[in-house]
Amino acid sequence: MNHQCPDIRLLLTEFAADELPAAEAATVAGHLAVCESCRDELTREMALREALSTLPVQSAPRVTLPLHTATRSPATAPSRPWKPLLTGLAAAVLALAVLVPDTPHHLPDRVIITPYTPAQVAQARHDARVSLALAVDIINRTQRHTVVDVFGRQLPQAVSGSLSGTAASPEGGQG
Amino acid sequence: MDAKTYTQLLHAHRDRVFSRALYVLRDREDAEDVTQEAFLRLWNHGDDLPAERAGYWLQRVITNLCIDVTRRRKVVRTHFGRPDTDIAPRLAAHEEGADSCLDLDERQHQVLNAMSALTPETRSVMMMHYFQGMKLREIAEALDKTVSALKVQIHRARQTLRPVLEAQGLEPALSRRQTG
Repeated sequence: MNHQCPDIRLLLTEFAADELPAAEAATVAGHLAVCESCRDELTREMALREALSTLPVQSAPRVTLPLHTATRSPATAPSRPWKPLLTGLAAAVLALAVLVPDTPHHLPDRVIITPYTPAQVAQARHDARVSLALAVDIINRTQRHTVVDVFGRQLPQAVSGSLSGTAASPEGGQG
Repeated sequence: MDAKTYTQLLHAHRDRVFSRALYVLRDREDAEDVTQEAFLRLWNHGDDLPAERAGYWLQRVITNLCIDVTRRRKVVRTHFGRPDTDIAPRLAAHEEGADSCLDLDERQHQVLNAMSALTPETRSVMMMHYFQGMKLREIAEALDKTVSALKVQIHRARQTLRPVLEAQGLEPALSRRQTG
């Protein structure tokens, strides 16, 4: 390796892509003829180029196709047509997770009319409970004044009541 | 931007843009969302763009969206990667198995796995150059960077990937040397 090597190595990407002007390409070629270390670096560049340039092009989902027929409002072109259904289901599941005891025989049969299997609903309820517990844990670890600033009036009254009038604690909600 | 220009851009860039997002993020749903969001933004803001700049603008939006998604994942892992949950291992397993149906060969798997050590912006730059065939000058224009900065970025990425690349690329050179 000599003093030219660092500069030459910065040019190898363009050299391998044949993007260098002729004069610079000749300089690089001349250096490569006498520098084994830079030749090895070029070999690595070629290996990288070979691996990434031959990656298969994947077909984009059809959902992007009819976009140009939509009006220019994000609300009229949902990224996933089924997303509102999932959101509705998630909200319902979250409500159940909070309100209903975690025993199958207490789950009313007619609360959710859904194409999902009982196992999928049970899994969703489990995931919702885990997520909710984690969210509560995050809030508990957050300084109280930050919680109030972020959630403002959206906090349930019982929660905001417990937070008001309490000095902020640097250790978070436990203090 | 009229519908005809938009449709031309859509057809010219859609698959490559989606593929780039897929290889950078290694999650099909995230890649679909990013692609959809990018074209939605192109449609909504297309009137403000000269037609000749729209392609560059799209590349920049995709890059930024991929960075945003990666940041969000990091937040999720920070908050959810607690020992009392099984979410973190599930996320890791999902990412590792994400390209199992992409028809990649072993060396491409290895390179993509090794690239996960790079920043999402560097991954995007490399995919734009090597996979999409964009010149460094074009990438610099799209991302508002200098060509010199891109050269350094790619050179450093190559150093990070060196163990994988040596295993793949240096064997012929070594064998030539030994036989020569």
